[in-house]
Amino acid sequence: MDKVLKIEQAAALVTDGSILALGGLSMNSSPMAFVRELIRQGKKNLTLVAIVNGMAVDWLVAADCVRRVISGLVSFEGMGLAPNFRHAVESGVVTLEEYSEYLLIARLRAAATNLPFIPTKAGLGTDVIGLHPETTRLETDPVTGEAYVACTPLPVDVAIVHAHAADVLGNVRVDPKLLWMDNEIVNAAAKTIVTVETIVPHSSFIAEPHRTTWPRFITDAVAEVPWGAYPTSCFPKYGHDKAFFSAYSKAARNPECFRTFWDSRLAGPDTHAAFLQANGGAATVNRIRRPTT
Amino acid sequence: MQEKLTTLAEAIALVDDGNVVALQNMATQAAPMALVRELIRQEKRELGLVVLVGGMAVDWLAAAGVINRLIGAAVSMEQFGLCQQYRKAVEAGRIRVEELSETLLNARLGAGARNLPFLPSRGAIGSDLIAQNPENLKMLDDPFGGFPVVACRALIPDVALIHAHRADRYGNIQYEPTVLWPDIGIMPKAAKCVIVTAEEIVDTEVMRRHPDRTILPGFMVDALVEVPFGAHPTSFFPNYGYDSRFHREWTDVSRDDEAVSAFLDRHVLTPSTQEEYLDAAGGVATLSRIEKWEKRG
Repeated sequence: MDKVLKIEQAAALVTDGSILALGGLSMNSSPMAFVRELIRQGKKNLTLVAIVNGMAVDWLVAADCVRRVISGLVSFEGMGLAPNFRHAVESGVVTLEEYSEYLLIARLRAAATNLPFIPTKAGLGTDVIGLHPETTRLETDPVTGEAYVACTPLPVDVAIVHAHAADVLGNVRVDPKLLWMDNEIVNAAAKTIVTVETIVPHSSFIAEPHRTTWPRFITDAVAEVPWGAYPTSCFPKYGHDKAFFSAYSKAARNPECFRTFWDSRLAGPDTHAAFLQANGGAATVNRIRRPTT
Repeated sequence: MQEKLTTLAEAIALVDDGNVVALQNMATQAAPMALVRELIRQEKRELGLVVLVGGMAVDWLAAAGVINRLIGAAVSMEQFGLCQQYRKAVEAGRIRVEELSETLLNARLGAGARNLPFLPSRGAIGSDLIAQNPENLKMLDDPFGGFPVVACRALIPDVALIHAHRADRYGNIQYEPTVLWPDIGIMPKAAKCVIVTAEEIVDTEVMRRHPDRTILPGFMVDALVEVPFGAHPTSFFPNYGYDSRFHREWTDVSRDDEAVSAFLDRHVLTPSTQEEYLDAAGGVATLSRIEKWEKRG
């Protein structure tokens, strides 16, 4: 019944060659502590499903954990491109299977609902459809003659999401409610691993049942990691760390600088707390935390 | 921002005879009953009703001769019994029924909401629902060579009628603590026109304190009316429970056309305001009772 694992144990559930879906959106709510642990455990040949992501994909690519990325967008938004991801795709080390966000959502929903396809009008008139005849196909509705795109299921081995709270049974809560497309990956995945800011008593879930985002039968493992989305945000508790993103991008321009940055500030520290400490400690926490409203 | 606040009379004037009207309702729960009564008061005719699981609202609309067709999964008042006026009208052929499962209806509305010709489902395979509804349900081969699906044709209602916990005057709508039923999520997105009643109208500043509670932004709402206890006699969690006594009073008379007519006269046609309606239903004593979530009235 108890779903709580140490983050090292939870990451050990991921086998080489798996299809992993990463939660969050762009600079927000990525399961960064878990990703760092995957890197420390030296996972290989992963396929990443990331509807919109940045830093998590870039780390895993930099650590040579990844062969294929299925995504709508990988970038640091206003802070530039994801440098290691870009380089790996350009040099052919990583294969990119590109969709729009909505085509990916439709594929994940087909997997979640056990349907052979889901139709959408997203992608009509673009070249994205023609890129993947095996998975997205232009069709005509026999009754109305309208064109649509049929999207096949995208099966996911493991979904990794970061949330605010869980109980030991594996019930999970996102505060105040889910903002990103994490439901899509969780519902499509064979297994779901959740990192949470805090483990709370089961009674707290019973008291406010409407706030439960995922009931325990959906989750396979829960690991408590305060600030576990750092350096991405975990609204409303904390924002993303602009300084980390800048320093990372700057270091990535020079392989030697990046190696130093990687060892001292990223992969080197043995715990997530030590990782935060290596990136400014209490001063960083106070900079990113948002006031209680 | 455009003002959406109006009166029941003006809001329901947006509904034309013959329209397809989607009604939020789960048996004894969460129906926009003040809007339903106003449909009857304005003597709307030949409406098509779309409802996931209809209750007393459907029975009243059938009794008053407002609807001549219904698309839905079930009509019943659960432990209070069947809707006898609706049943009688269906048996007599005055109301035509398109029966769907809840999943198929959500798929039809979902296709309407997404401007798709259809959405696929596996929900009805092996049942007779598909053969009975060749207009709107069709077996479709998977273009990728997998198993076939049921294509559920898009359904776009002319109007959706919704009841909510709070709104601001610009039609931003909030639910407390969260949406419990699937019809609220899909009907307003599928319909061309959305009419909402809310338990209370609050300042926009109050709405902004909990933006996560907003289920419909103002631009999706055409008309809004403040109606406290607007779902009575159905429940409106967590504010109040359903009125058992009122449901039993209705089921006691609902087989008898003359008694039905007197009941509708007393509870629907005569009261000219929400307060007069609530007083006719027992006033403060009733409100206190349903706010306590009485199990037996």
